[in-house]
Amino acid sequence: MRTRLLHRLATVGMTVILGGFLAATLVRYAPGFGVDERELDTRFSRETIRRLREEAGARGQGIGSYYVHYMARVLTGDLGVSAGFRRPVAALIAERFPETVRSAGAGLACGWTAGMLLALAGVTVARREFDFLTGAAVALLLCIPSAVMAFAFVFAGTLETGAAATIVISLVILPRVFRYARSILGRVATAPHVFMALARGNGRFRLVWVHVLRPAWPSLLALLGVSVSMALGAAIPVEVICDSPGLGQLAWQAALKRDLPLLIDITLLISVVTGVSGFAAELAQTRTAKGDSL
Amino acid sequence: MSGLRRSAMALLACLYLAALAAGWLAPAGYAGQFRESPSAPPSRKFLLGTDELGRDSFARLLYGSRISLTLAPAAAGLGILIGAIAGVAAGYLGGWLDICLSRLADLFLSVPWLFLLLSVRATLPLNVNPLESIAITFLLLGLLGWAVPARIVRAAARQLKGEDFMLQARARGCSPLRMLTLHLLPSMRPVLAAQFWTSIPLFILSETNLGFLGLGIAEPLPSWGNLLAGLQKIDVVASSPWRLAPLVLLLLVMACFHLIVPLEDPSR
Amino acid sequence: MNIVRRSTKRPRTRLALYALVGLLLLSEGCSSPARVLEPVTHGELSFCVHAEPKDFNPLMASDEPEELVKFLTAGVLIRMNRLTQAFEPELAESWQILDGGRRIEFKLREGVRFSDGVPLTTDDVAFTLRTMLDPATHSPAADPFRTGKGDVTVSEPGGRRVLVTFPVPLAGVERLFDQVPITSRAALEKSARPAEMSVLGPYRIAEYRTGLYLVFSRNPYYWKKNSDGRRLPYIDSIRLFIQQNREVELIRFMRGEIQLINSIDAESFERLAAKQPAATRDAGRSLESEQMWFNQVARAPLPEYRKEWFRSRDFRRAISDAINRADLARVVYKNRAAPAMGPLSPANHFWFDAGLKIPLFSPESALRRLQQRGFTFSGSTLRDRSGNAVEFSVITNAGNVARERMASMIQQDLARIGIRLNVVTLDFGSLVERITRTFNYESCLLGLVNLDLDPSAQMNIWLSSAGNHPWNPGQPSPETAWEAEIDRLMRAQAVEISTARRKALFDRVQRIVVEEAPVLYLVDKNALSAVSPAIGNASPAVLHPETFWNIEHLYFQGPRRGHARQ
Repeated sequence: MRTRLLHRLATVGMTVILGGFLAATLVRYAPGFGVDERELDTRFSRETIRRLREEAGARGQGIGSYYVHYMARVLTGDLGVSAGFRRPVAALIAERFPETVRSAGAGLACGWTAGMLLALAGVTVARREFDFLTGAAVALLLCIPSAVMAFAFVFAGTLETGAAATIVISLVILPRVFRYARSILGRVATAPHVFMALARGNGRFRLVWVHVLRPAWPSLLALLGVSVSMALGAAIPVEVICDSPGLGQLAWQAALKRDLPLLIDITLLISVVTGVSGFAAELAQTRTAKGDSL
Repeated sequence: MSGLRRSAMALLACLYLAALAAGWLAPAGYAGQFRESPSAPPSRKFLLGTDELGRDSFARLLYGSRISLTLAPAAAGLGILIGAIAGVAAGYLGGWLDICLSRLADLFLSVPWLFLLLSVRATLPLNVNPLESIAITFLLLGLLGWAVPARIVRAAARQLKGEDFMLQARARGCSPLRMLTLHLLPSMRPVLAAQFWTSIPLFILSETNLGFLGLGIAEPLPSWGNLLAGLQKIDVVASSPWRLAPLVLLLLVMACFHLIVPLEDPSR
Repeated sequence: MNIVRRSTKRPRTRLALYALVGLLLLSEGCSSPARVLEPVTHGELSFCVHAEPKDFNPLMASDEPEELVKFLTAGVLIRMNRLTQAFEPELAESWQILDGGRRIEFKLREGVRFSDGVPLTTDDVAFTLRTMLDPATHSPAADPFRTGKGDVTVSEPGGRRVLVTFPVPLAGVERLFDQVPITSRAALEKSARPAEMSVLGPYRIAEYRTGLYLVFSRNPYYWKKNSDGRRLPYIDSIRLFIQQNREVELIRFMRGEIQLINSIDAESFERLAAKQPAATRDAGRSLESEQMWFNQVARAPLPEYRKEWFRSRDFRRAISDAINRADLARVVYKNRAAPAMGPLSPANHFWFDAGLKIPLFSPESALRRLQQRGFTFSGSTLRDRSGNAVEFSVITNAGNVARERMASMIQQDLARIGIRLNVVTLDFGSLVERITRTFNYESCLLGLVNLDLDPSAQMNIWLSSAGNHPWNPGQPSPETAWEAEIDRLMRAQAVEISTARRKALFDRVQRIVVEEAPVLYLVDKNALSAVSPAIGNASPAVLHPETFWNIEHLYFQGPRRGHARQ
């Protein structure tokens, strides 16, 4: 078990390092890298513009050696200085991470809870009309751009509460969780053991909770790992519009400015979160499956 | 086939035909600017009014359907196809293949692929056909969007691997390929269908976000993505509810797909 | 509000009371002549800035948020009144231009103190100027000072005077000092901790929450007083929300969360005018224009036949004739813009060449010009002499809805004369890379924001060697005779002290630009802003910052926020 854990952590670590390098390469060779918008400022002379270009160019020379030096610094706790914000990346992330954890975390929890409850209700009620109504509501949520939802909450005046970002992220997660959970639970609900339990006189609640949800749980856990990435992805436009100073807003601004140090660090962070959440989901899956088999 | 499912197929077919016949149904075309009537309300001449440049909104909706109803499902299908192959291989075969594919999926979920899209767009000539440009963008989105379905399919495959029907098939001497294609994949149809169904609007809407970075569809071509972007002006939409037409149409298409593509196990 | 309350006491007692109050006031006046009555207005003014300030060192301000912070907190020697466009004394009570424009001498106002109570001295002014001009500082404000070979020197002749000497005479030198924030060594050392910085402007930074807002509180030692002797500013504090999204900014204004929108686009303006007409302000034509130019860089990676088109004056003039500018102003800008006549907007009253006319809109004239150059129009396609179909692309920045719409309208206009225009929207970084480095573009649609009225502020546009010479930047020597002429005229006006002669020189520049059409000027936009009716004394101008250029004189109206006399 310990060996597996170490092995898994090692592979997550390698993925993180590779992800950071890939991100650095993509950013470095994307168009617009090293370009400073101030070059269009008509107050600046040719010499000043030349200096701005030299400064920008120095940031991205030799991506391989840049990345090696960068990782060496990261290992000592120095995450570099943001080229766009001109502040230490560690400070920027430390300021913004709690906000994203709050909004994306709460959004994920709410979205998952609501999605699972709706899916369980669908299996319990087992009526086409209910399925149709929930399907229509979920379809509506899928079709409305998250930016529009965010604007709607801003318009309705929930900006100050900070709940706007949470609510929108939960509304983005809910339909995906519901659709997947409904199909898994629906499939398990037609398994022979469920009919046998029904024939033995099990009540509806026990039927769904013990004989449908428990066997479906390992499959559902796979979505949990992926949902973390979905929540982080949804956080970007939502935080920008809802004015929530989280990592999503930071990532968007970093992308627009081609802020190499910041983008690498954010990628590393997201890789870690994705890897760990996937690992945790797998671990839970394995344990649940073993528990069931016993 | 149920009556509802037949109706959904007929409606979807009508929508596709209407999109193909846009030239007859909306002779004004998607690009013609009636500059004396910008942001006009619906009328006999303009069934859904006009946009800010005086272009017929009904025509733009029909022509936009061609692009969105073709490219978005195609991109979703491509992503799910690659995801299904990778997920099934990883979940069923396990071992080093599972580890490599899982880590590759994690990588794909973490890296900012936006910059790849920007780089690819930069390599295309400036005078490239707008349709070619957006098709390439959707192709890339499809190629990059396999990670989420792969992880879900992998989990489902791992679970199904130990099911009785799989054990029976193995006992009967089925080859691994036959077991995958004839037994495992069909059992995962509900999972794949759910993924496909949720991915279509995702790809349509992603075009809206990409438009902010210059990766959306070029003027004057319409798409549902750039039509839906107008919904951000909540107060304008509230006073001009006909602007919700793209959202209503998208909902209709989603409902049709939902009814046509079975989400439940066919053996039910 | 009356300062002295009505009293019901007996007359003799009342008289004694008045005498006592009078004595007290007299004694206060003798001991501390600078002390004035407290302002009666309380409250917090809120508005938005669209990005995070990166640097609180006022000498390094280059972006919108930094300029905004600088305007609110910094004191300058001379300030241009944004409404009258006249120069007014600020920290300098007077100034003299000497030696034909080679020197400018300032006399500092007496009794001015920083927000921490430390008096302003000539040392601080000299320190600021020397630090700004130091090449190692890389201050954006310094470039306009470096006009010729040789250094700018600063000296302190004594008697509260500071003397600035330029290597060559400089026309319109006062305008430069409107942008120079006077500071001190102690203040600059604290620029990383903005709430601790001492300032000379009406406000100081009190709080900064990253990603959320900045709070400014009044400078207790601000030197400016109103006509009643009351110390300014009226408003206690300002909250600057960091808000990138303009749509959200508009929603917040509609809800009353913010009281100003400094610059608002035409469509949002109309939406707001429909709901809150009293809040919308149209100050008329601004200095901002939208323009389109063709790539004339010889080494651009374009087909030779296309380069030949773009270098042809008749081709450029034909494109200009084919564009319906009136429609652009009416449809895209809802009539809150006007067809542009040339490189300057008429809002620049003095320097605009009144002899310029609105460009002709005539597809027929456009076709005639092209046919004279050997182009043929058959079917619906225009072809050049070699049979190449006339097709090219225009790049503009993605996300700017007005420009995307203009490009779409221009596409339609050119289609009428058989030209196929491909609209390509790019993110800003990619666009800047193409127009400044790779030159891998054919035409570009962008806007120009003129922050300064003086033509010398545009040297980096008009000089052929300049980095911001749009159609062909950084030429070692002018590639065309007319660009050489523009170079000569611009250099001549930069050192010409006679305003009338400068005007004549710059008028000639404007006419050459219109004749040769390297840049097609499309529309001059109106200066649109939003000001809550709760704000008193707001007079939006066309110069930046449009709504709060007189921030110290703004006050709240109505009982909720208190009120004050001007």
